Amino acid sequence: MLYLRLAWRNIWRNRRRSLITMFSVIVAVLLASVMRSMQEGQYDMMIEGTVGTFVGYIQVQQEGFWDDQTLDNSFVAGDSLLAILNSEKEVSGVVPRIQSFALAAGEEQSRPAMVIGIDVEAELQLINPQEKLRSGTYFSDNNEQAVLLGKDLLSRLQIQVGDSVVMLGQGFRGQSATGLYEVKGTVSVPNAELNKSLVLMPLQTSQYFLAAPNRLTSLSLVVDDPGEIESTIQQLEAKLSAAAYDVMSWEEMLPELQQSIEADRGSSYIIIMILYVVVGFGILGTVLMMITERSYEFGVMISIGTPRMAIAAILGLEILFIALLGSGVGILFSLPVAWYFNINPIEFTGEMAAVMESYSLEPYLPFSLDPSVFYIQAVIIFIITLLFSFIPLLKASKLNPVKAMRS
Amino acid sequence: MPIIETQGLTKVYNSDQVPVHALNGVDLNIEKGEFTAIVGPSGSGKTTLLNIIGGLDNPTEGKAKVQGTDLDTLSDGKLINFRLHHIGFVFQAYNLIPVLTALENVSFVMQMQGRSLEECKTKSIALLEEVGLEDKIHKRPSELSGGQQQRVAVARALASKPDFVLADEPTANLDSVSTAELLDMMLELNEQEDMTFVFSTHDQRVIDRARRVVTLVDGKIDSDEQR
Repeated sequence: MLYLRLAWRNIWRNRRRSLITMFSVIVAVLLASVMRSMQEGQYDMMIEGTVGTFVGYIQVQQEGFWDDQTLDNSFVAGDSLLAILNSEKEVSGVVPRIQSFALAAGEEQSRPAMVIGIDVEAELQLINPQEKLRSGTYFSDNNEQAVLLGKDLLSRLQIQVGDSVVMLGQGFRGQSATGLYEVKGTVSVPNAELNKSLVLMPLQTSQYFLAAPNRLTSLSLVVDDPGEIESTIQQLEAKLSAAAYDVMSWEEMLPELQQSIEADRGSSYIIIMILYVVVGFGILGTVLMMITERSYEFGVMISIGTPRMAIAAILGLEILFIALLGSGVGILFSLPVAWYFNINPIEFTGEMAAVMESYSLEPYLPFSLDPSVFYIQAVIIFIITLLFSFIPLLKASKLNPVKAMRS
Repeated sequence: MPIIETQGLTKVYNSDQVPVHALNGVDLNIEKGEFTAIVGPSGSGKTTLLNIIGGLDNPTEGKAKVQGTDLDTLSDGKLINFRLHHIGFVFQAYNLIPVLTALENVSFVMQMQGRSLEECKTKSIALLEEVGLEDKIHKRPSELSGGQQQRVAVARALASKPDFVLADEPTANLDSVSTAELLDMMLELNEQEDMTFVFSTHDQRVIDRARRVVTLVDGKIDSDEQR
């Protein structure tokens, strides 16, 4: 308590210097928090756009399917498996799919296609084709003999909504797969390649087409909190350990997305570190001034019996107060900025908007309000303060009292 | 046993490669309850002698013992602890901690000794009353006159219940009235509580009232007068 009181009063002895040092910390934390909030908001949107509304944060597959994506690695989802998945706390929906490759042919053109058989009702929680329709209408039931095409596939096949398309491929265990289906409409999904090759088919229709009745290639799980994916996967793996299933996270299924986010994060960390190193030198300057100005006083304190560690502790607390006050105020200032841009995202126009829309991403940038974006700044300031103050504090604690009082 | 005992105390500073003998074989015993002034011209070694007796500096040769403990044998940490429990210091420039009140300055050393907050507060108030500053206990040093600050410094020196108080030129910055008051107070403490005081001073007013005057010249004891 005595140390805290001394440290608190000492930082106000040179009010101007303390305020300038705090101000540098405030500016650094404000800039870093806002920058990180913007970036994380962008990443969240990218992930939500591709993962949350297409792949799913978690998928359960037959063991080995991911490495060898053929129907031979499909499975029948029994009631016990579905019961386990539905009983998981974070799982709010289970979306069955069967996926294969085929050739889609119009009257004049044919193109390779990715066929995804979807449960018409359940899929509204993930891809939600109804919302992504560019033209036509959505399926009415799982037996409908119709398909929805990726928006660019329709033009590549040179056909129109209402025309028929011939699907030709290989079904379960090498059986031939053929069928003629009405094109009910087109969808736009957040992946340019998929828009050129996607064929959505009602689940039972696709299982019949692929000669794989009741079989699935994946169960995508809708999770309430994407932050709980790791623990949910661990729990599911434990529960499904006896069965031959793989529980995969979106990071495993879309490593390129994860890597591009990590690479972008890495470059921003470098900028932030430069910012903080500059602040660190500001703190170092303050510590050195504090020690130089007060070496006489420290000499007296050591003379009357103050332990050297107490001197270091008092000085350390002073620096910590300045750093934590600065980072606290910096975070307080950055919160309304992030909150404002979270509610009123930055809107893109012109070419940038067109590029984003081509990936089916909304042309705006919402800021993230994830608490870790903000409190991590205080942690970094704490570490930088320790690093930059350690040696000066050590020197202060080793002062020779006689020399210090002569200075 | 003398409370302070020095044997052949020598201190040599190597200033610009030229050795300077600040102390040159000082033998001095001070008994409990003495009121001793160390006097002499500038550079005679008064402050060096006090620094060594106070465990702030090491002799080049010789020994300094306090209550029979050879200070040279103590590690830095133990020496700081020894000062905290056995020696009170009063400095020329008062040297109170500027951000603490008079009460907190006096209480500071007791808290360092690990005494309870309640005891520190009660004892500090009693000491400040003893030095006549009962109405100034919540004032910071900047709100006190030089004489009042030096009284707080004496109260702080006594707070740790030391074996003796070392005062380096305690009246150098005080006017005559404050000097007289400070001396009255310290003599009273010496007489009533048998507290040992050792001063270094130039001040004739202090020398006149000291009961023993040790004169240093060129780092040696020139005279030692009991009154």
